[in-house]
Formats: sequence, C-alpha cells, structure tokens
Amino acid sequence: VVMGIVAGAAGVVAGRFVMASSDEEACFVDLDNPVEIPLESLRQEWQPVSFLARFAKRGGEPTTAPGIAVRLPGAGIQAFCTYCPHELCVMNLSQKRQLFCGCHLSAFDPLARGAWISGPAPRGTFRLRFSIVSSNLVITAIESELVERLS
Amino acid sequence: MNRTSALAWISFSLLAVSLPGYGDTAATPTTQKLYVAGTSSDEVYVIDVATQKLLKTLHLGKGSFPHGFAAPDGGRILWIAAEDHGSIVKLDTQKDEVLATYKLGREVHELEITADGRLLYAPMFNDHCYFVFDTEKAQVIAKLPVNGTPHNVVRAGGDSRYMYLSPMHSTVETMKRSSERKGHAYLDCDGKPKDPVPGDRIYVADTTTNTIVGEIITGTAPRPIAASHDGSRLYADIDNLLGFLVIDTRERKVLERVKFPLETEAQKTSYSRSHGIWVTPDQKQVWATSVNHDLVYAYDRTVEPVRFLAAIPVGGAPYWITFSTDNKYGYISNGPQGELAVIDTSTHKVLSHIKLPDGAHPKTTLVVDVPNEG
Repeated sequence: VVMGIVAGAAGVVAGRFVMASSDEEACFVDLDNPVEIPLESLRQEWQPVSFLARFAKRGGEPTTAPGIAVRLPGAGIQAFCTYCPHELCVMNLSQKRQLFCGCHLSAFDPLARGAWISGPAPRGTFRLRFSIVSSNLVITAIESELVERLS
Repeated sequence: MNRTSALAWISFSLLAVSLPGYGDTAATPTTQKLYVAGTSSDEVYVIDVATQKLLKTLHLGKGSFPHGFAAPDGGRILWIAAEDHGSIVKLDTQKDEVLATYKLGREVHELEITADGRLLYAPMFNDHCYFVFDTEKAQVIAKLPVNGTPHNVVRAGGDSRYMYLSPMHSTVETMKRSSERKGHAYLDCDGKPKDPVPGDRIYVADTTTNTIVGEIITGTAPRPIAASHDGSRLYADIDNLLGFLVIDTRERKVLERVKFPLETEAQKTSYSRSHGIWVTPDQKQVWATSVNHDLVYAYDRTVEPVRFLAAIPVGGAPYWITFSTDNKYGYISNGPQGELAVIDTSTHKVLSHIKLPDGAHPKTTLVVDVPNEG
C-alpha cells in the first residue's frame, strides 16, 4: 500500500501518472488518445468489443495493449486489458465467461473486475481507467505496472 | 572452432544428409507419430502424420498436465513429463501404452534423453535443479543445481556428449511466485530454503560425468532452445528478445542476436515474445515463434549470419514447434486455439490445421519414427 502511494505521488509529480480512484491502489498512465467505444455496440451482455490502447513506454517509445469492453449482467459495462499478467499472452473471453489465457491457462473473473481465479498469473488483470461519456465508453488510462513490464 | 571451420562443418553435414542412404529408414518400415502434450489436462494426443488423424488419446492421470517429451534413437520408447505429478512416464510407442511411471519431484517440464536411452535429463521446476535419471537403474543418479528455474534441456550432437540446460526466469519476483503458487518456500535441490538467483545463462552438462562443465551467458533468462544435429550450434529464445540467439557451442558464446523483422505498425508497437524454436531435420532451417503476433519465422541456417526466409501467419498464438522426421511438415502448437498448424517446410505455406478435442491446449510436440515391427 505504501509503495503504491509513493509511486502514485511520484507519478503525479512527474505529470504522467495519475492515481486510481480510492478503492484501488493501482497507478495509471494516460493513453495517447482516449479509446471511445459507442455504447450502442455494447448492448448485448457478454458480447465483447475489442480495442487497442496506445500509450508510451517508460522511455517514450510507443506501444499498445489489447483490451475488450463488455456489458456484464449486474456489473454494467467493464473494460479489461487482455494481456495476461503472467507472460503477457493475449487472453480471450471464454465460453465459461472467464478471461482465459491459452498459454498457461490462467483464468480471471470479469464479474469481479478481472480478479484472479486460477493459474500461474500472480495477480488480477491489468486495470484500465474508463467512464461513460455521453453515448460512449471512454478508456483513458492503463495501469502503470503493465507499462513497466513492457518497458 | 572459428566461424569458417564451423561453416565448413555445417556444409559437410548438409552434404552428408543429401547423400543416398543417410538417414534412410526404408529398410525398417516405420510410422511417423506426432505426440502432442495437452497441457490443460491429463491427455497426450497421438496423431498419425500420414493421415493427420488422431490415433489415440492417452490419459496420464488426473492433474498430470503432460508437458515435455524425449525419445531415444530407435523410436520404440517415448518419455513424457507429467508436469504437476512431478513424474516421468515411459511409453511403448508401438502400442502407445504406459510401461512405467517414476515420481521424481515437485514439477517436471521439458525432457531430454541420450540417444542410447540411458540418461534422462529432467528440469525440476520447483526443485530448482536438473535431475539425471538413469533409465536402467530407474533412479536419479545426479542433481545439478542452476540459477533460474529449470524448464528446458536439449542434447546436441549424435553422441549425446553434452546436454544444454536452459533454466527460465529473469527476475527474483517471478522465481518466488512459482514457489508461492505451490505453497512452499524457495528450495534447493535437497529441499532446503535458499535465495533465488535469476537465470541468465545456459549450462553445459557432460553426460559422461553428469556434471556441469560450462556456461553460456545469454544475458536474460533463456527460454526454449534447439540444437543442430552436429552439435555445433544452439538456437535460443531468451527473455526480452523478439527473435533468438545463435550460439557457438564449441566456443560457448553468442554469435548472433537475431531480431525478427517487423513489417506492420501493429507488430512494431505491440508486445510479443519468442517461445518455441526448432531446427528442421535436414538441418537447413531454424524456425521460431512470435506468440502474440501469430507468426512463425523461418531462417536459413546454412549461412551465417542466418538468413531470413519467411514470416508465416499460423492463425493463432504459436508456442512450440516440431517437424516430421521426413522433413516435409512443421507442426506448430497454437495453444489458445486448441489446434496444430501444419506447414510445408519448403514453401512455408500453412497446409491445414489439426483440430484437437474440445478443451485441448496443445503444448510440446514431438514426431517419433516408430518401427512397425520388432
């Protein structure tokens, strides 16, 4: 917790990182441009819409991360980074309605904000910051731990 | 050996394989069987190379998670690593029946065996050393501690003199996590707690003494590795390199650091990694995978530096590679897709996909030339 706060504070000073909302202890990095997904395309539950988040690595080099947005029963619209936290393989939403990595079989619960269920991954899915703006889902930032991994 | 003499050696080897009679198995009719580890289950799939049909599904016991294969010369025996059982399984390849199972330790991943079938090298993932299993005595006769986390091993050269041990994990954090996941401390070969040291090298083990006799520094942790038949070259996936290393085994040093050519903007800006590398049986090509880009790269290894030949879209996330023993086909495990891509080694075109049973996640593969009789 302390490290997260320190990292967050350092990020705010650097002007690039922003702290997550109070119920999270993650630290985020702004995307180059927000990803906008029309809500119209997210009407069906469990029907994911794929997107690519663009941002800069620690050294400034451009990079991307894949993600999905999906409407969930009882949980509204959520957005997930689909890089598996284990080895950064790309995950899919499985028939069992889990975020599932085919490389080493880690599984995550979309209904619990990407919480770890099973497998070798050391944590839940990398977080995205998003909100509903007008008629769009707008994704604005990605968790800094992923940025560090990619750097 | 300097580079000129190494190239001469490669040229000689290529000449040798082109000579009539070399590797000729016509005298002993064989069936090529493709063995596929179904890592999400207890299953090993046996596929007939000629028809690409599933011949049999082997079950190694609930929660076994088959991972690696090793086959000595002769084609009669296949050893299988049952990862989560920490055991090795001896298989009769003619009947595809289990002959024996030996519990070695906590987790065993890839395997390699001397050509004569006597010594099996087993990377013991959470025991943090390589075990040497004497198949005649049916017991572990040596334990070789290494930095990193034991995962891969290959033999190089027909005499099986050397085994190359390729332990993964470039950071202490990842090493600790694998132990924590299993609910125990980070342990040494004897089960005593020790401090993890990240992997950054390949170890050379001498099979005449079963001791480590050399090291090849790779910088970051090595991942899957492959060897040329003559034993002069290793090809190594390593962490943080989308490509592979070319290693001179006699000098025990890196000759080349090959980066895959990235064509599209998506390839240039998205993360991928290499996991899976193998040399074609005719020794002319080395293939390696780019997991997140759904590509397999083929290189000409008859020249050095190695020459890029093709980037092959395989329709899924490629993980492991093997070839039919007649050199015609490459088989790529597309784990997340539950299938194998079949590729023509001369045209580099995907010929077909072998769909595995529902829920299968293919991992390591190996083709064995199984004698039809005897």
